[in-house]
Order: sequence, then structure tokens, then C-alpha cells
Amino acid sequence: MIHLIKKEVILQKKMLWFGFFYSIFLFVAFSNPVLKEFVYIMTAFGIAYITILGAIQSEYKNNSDIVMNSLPITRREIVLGKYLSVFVFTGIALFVVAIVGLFFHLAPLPFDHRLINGNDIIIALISIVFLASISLPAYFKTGAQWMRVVNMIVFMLIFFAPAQITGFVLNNQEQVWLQNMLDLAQHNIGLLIISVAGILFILLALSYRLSLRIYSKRDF
Amino acid sequence: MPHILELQEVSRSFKGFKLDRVSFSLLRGYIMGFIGPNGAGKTSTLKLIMNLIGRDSGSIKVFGQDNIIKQREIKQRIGFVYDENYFFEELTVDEMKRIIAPFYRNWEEKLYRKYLKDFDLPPRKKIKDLSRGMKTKFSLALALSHQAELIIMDEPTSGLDPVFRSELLDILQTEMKDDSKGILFSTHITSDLEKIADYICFINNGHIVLSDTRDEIINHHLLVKGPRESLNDRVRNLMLAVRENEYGFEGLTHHPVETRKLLGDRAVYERPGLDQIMLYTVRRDKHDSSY
Repeated sequence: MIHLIKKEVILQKKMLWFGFFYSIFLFVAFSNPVLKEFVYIMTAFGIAYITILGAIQSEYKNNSDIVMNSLPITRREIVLGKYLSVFVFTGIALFVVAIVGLFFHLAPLPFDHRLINGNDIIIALISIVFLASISLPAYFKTGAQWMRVVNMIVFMLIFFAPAQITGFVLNNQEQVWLQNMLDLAQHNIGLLIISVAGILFILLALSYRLSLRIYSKRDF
Repeated sequence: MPHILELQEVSRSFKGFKLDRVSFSLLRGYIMGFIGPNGAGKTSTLKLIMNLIGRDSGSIKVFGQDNIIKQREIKQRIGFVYDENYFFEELTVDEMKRIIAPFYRNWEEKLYRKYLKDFDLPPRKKIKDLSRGMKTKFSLALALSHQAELIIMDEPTSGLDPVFRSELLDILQTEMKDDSKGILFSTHITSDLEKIADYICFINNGHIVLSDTRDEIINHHLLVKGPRESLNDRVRNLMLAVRENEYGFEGLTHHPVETRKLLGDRAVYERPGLDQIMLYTVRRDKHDSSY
């Protein structure tokens, strides 16, 4: 398994360097008081996204499934390796933004950035895992082409859903069930995070099962 | 002697094409040439062996074990060279090796370095900048560096210059000095096989037409050239296929004794090449299917 993940990192070595410089650019561009709250999440999400997609596109372009499936590994391992690489790339992306953020925090610059915190890590991780859960089965079924379309839809969801949810909450404030949920969110953030993580874990498990089913039946 | 590879009644349907009850086997210590025209089913058969495509029925055994159930173990002992480059083009030769090598427990780094040197492969060159011949050499270096016992090659010589083709065949012959190995080599360039193949398996339209030792196949066929007037129905029935022109005919028979008896010195006889056997057999199959 470690060799499959190593393969992903070798493939995206250059892209990770790009991610490093991209994050410096975003930390400068997002230095105003509103945007800088989200800079860690958005930058980590961006780096993880381009590296995960980059590795997939490279495999698709070179039709390298043929080589990978000729090696002494099973299709299950190939699928699992792809899912694990999502966490590895997200981990690397978070590490990069944490280091860049630390630099901006310590450096004597006209603007300042806070250090990365737990919320940044959790939200970035949740967003990437959500995106991967939806788009990886599309990749295993059709290759990188359709995955891009699915990604775009999920992207739109990630960007537009918060505004829609906020609007819904404001218009339905009297609803008792909604008030209970908001109370829970305000006073028991730990439970909320565990709930979201649980739902996401189920989504990820279903996504993995579906990808495995699709990939096991595929002809190369 | 145990079979290193055995296919029994393997079938697989595709849209507009079917591999139909494909059966053949390869013994350890031998090279089998897998021949047939383009689109005959060579690549599909090799993909079935490598479990890159699934089969509808039949069995495939490699080293005596099922190729799907034991694929992990089996693929440790298979070296593969494909007709196209499926490596990551944007990586260098060495980076690609760093991806492939760790999967093989018997990887021999020294041997790999030796092949790179022998093949003049620059380790830091990107794969996309290698010529087609160099890419095949790289593929071959990887296939030969992990003590593979079965080497599967899909059209490795197509599109290569004669010098490298000859070099490749020499390398394969050297590999076969060790009797524990077997090579399955698909090609439509039959002249490559005249030099190295011990066995020939001929596929056409998804069916195995012939599978035997090269010498048996050649000895069982005879190329006949004679005047047109001697081509009567009895002679015609002995022929696999015939080409006629205003002066005479040329045909291939797989009844050499009867044909010689019937035509005597009214015809000229030649030992056919594999390409002629392939050509006439394909022609016969086309003729048969047109009825």
C-alpha cells in the first residue's frame, strides 16, 4: 500500500512545490480581515484538490491503469491506495499551509496572519473528503473527464450551499427542530463535529465500496 | 514437463467480436510466437492472461494456478512488455523505476542498472523524450529485472527498426539459456519468429487456428506452384487457399503427401514461411465466412 501512495507523491512532486508558492500567493492575496479567516481552509483545500486531481489526470492521460494492473497488486489495493492518498495529500497540504502561515505570523510584514487551528484542519479535511467521496467513483467509472464535471458540481455545492443554508435558517427560525439543532451546534460543538464526521465516514465507506465494485468489473 | 501457461476453452464476448474457446499451452523453457493479423484477438488474449479483462468462461492457469485467484503471486513472476507506452510520460526513467521496483520482492537493482547501460538508456531522461525503441528497451529492462519466469510481450517489435528488432530477439534468446523461463511473444511480423520461436500459436477471428511447434507447422504445410490446367477440383480440395493468375496458380496445402502424389512433377514445391501460412489461412477463413 505504501508503494501506491509513494507513486502518487512521486507523480505530484512538482505540483506540491507549486502548491507551496500558490499558498504564499494566497496568504498575501487574502490578507484582508474577512478573507484571512478562511485562508488556511481555502489554501489547503486548493492544494489538496490540485494534487489529487493532478495525479488522477496523469494516470488517465497515460492510460497507466494497464501498467498498474499488471503489477503484483490487486484492484482492491489500487482503489484503497487512491482513497488513502486523499488523506496523504490533505495532510501535506495542511502541513504546507501551517508552515507558510507560521512564516506570515512571525515575519515583520504590514499584515498579520493567525496560526492554523483545529477548526481549519477539520473543515479542510471534511471538504476534501466530501469532494473525494463524490468524485472518486466517477473517476473509477469513467476516467478523469467526467470526474471534472462531478467536481464542478460538488464545488458549486460547497460554495453555494452555505448561503442557501443560512437563508433557510433565517427564514425558519421559529421551527422547534431547527432551534434544537442550533442550540446543539452552539453548546455542544463536539457532538456536532462527531455527527458530521460520522456522516462523512459513512459517505466515504459507501463511496469506497462503490468504487471497488466499479473498478473490479472494469476492462483495460 | 509442467506448463508455465495453460488456457482452456477461454471465451470472451466484446461488441462485434468474440474470443471463442481459446486453448493453448506453453512449456517452461520455450518461446511461443502468438501470431495473427491485426484485430485477430492477440492483445485481448494477452489481456485475459494478465487479468486486465475478465473472461466469460474457460480457465487460465499460470504456473499451474488460476490467474485471477492467485494474481498477486503470479504477477510477481511475470514480466510484461506492451505494444504501447503506458508509463507516466512526464516522469524520468529512474522515477518510473522507483514506482515499479518496490512492488517486486525479487527486484535486482544491479541487473536493472546493467540493462540500462547495455540498452544505452539515460536514467534521467523523461519517458516522453525517449524514442519508441528506447521505450520498448526500458519496458524490457523492467520486465527482466525481477527474476520473471514468464515474459509476456505484446507486439514488442512493431514500429521498431530492424537493428533493434534483431537486438531484442538476441536478448530474448539469451534469456532462454535459462530453461526455467517461458516467453509468449505476440506479433504480426512473422519473420521475427522464424529466428526464435519454438512454438507457434496462430489466432484468427478470435479462434485458435494452429498451435504446435514451429517445425511441425511448417512441415505440415507445403507451398505449391503449378500451371493453371493442373488445378482441378481434387487439387483444389487439398488446398487451404489458392491464388490464380492467367499463367498458373500458387496455393498452400496442409496435405503435402497427397498433393505431391497427385501433382507429381507438374508443380514446384516450396517450404512455406510462417507469413505465407498466415496469409493463406486468413484468406481461407475469409472465403469460408463469405458463404
